[in-house]
Amino acid sequence: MNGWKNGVELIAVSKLYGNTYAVRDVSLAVREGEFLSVVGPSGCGKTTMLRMISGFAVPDSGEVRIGGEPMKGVPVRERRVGIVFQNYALFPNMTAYENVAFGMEAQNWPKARIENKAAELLEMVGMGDRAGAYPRQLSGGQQQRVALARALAIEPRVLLLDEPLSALDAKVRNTLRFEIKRIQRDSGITTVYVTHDQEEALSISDRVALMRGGMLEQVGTPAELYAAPVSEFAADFIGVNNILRGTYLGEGRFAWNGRVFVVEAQRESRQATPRGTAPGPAAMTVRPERLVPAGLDLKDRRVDPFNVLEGKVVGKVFLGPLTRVALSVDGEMLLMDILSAAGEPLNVGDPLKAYFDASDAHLL
Amino acid sequence: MLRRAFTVCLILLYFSFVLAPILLMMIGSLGEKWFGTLLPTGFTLDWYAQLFRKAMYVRAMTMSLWIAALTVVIDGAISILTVYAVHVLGSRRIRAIFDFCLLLPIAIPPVVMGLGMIQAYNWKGFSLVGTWQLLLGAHIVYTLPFMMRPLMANIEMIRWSTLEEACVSLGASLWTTIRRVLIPNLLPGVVSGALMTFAMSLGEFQLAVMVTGSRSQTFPVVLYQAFYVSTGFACAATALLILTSLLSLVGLALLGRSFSEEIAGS
Repeated sequence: MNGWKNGVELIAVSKLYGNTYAVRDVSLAVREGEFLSVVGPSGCGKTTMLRMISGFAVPDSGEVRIGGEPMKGVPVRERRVGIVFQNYALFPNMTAYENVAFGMEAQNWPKARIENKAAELLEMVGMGDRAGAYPRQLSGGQQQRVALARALAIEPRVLLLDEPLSALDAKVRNTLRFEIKRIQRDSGITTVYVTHDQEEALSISDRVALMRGGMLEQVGTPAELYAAPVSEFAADFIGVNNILRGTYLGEGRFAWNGRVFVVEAQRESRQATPRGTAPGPAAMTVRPERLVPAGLDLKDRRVDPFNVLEGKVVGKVFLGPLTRVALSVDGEMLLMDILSAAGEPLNVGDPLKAYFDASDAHLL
Repeated sequence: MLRRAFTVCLILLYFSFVLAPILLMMIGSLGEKWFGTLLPTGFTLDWYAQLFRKAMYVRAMTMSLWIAALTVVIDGAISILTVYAVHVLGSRRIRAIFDFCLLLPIAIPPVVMGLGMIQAYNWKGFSLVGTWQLLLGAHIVYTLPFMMRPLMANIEMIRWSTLEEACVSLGASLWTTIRRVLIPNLLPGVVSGALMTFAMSLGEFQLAVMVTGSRSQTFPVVLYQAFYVSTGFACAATALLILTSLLSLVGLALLGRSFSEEIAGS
């Protein structure tokens, strides 16, 4: 198959620790050059999965392939995987340059080639002028840049990153996130990125694999995961969501707390067809930014009179461009994001009507 | 004010208990006569001259330095390998057993250990008792915990398991990993362990007096005998041991520092 030269495949892979599955029956394919993130709450098996790709953990069943070759029995040092660790793991006794050169020296590359490659990589990660610095002289973000250069130096077939940014502060995290993406795009290396931060995963990945309890919950592009979660867990974990539990009545009607909403997509929608087309207990999700204050800018929208929620503002958080408002409707709390600049400022206790379009409601 | 007075008192106490006896020895080694007076009278270097003229003392000092140096080297080699193995392979249980074993040489008095060694290595026709090799073995067992402990702390501080994973993923062999990453990063622990074990071995008396014979006596053993010769002579012998010990420790510390700088700079 095309595009598998340096791809990664997991085929029905399981890993047991004691009597519990750390990873259970996971099948996943990462195409060559693809940036795939694995997200999930702690203990969901994402790190174990990464360790099985690198070879530090051996699957109890199933198969790992890199570049189409089965990795069973292939030791870590022969797999040619570049690893970036959460705590940087730079060698304290070596300078940035020596750290980057280490892998190439261990593999006996010619000296001139090592020097060129190390200098080039340090330049690429923006550490060209700190080549002679020891890890203790570098900030966390700088250390992680050097660690990235070190991992790429051996020209790995796959780049594996294990929570590389979680030890850094927010500002550095955000810039480094896009640096990693840029470097990955430029080098075209197949990348598996493990993180517990769904926002991070959504912002840099080609595809995201969501894990839960050792199993894959959903795999798709960031937009797919955001717009069409397959489960309440996915809906809740990815982004911020309102989950309304009620009953699907059939024919695009959803009953919740004595109200009936129109939920069937009226026009061509980016989301997949709702799963629960059979009537019965169901959940409906609607993103906070899809809840619009009714009466503010509804003139050019086709207001469906059904999809209006009347409630009271019980809290608000200023997020910069947006203000997140907690709206109490019949005792249940819904979140809505309103442009901070729009209209009169809302106060806690104000009555507020919220409207959502039928195509923005997602049925589970 | 009261706190300050208290601190001053403590410092004075420290001086009078720790430094004063050492100082008195130094002074005594230079005095001609020291009998019935608070401080010795006269000035002479003769005690030192006598000390260096007596083959027994010179040989004992050489033996002490030899055994202390070997103890440090062998302690270091054993400890690096052991600490590495326990850290990498060790489960919680193994680590607990290891910690307990480390306590044993500290918990068992040297006299007991010495008696045990005599019992264990003294058979008809074959006896290790009286050889310097047996004393070396005894000193290694006795000082090993003091090399292991700083190394154990060291390897945990550098988070070795992740560093080793980094090495392996970069394609480094075990030998390259140990030589270029493990040993250089354990050097601070080795240096502090070496200072401790060298000093312990050099000054150790109980094991030495039980295990050694006339040809393998170490300096502390002959020093004890020196007190039967004369006060001035004994003081000179003591002063020599203190000076040798201090100089060796300073030398070791400097060596360790230049070594780690060299590795860092290579």
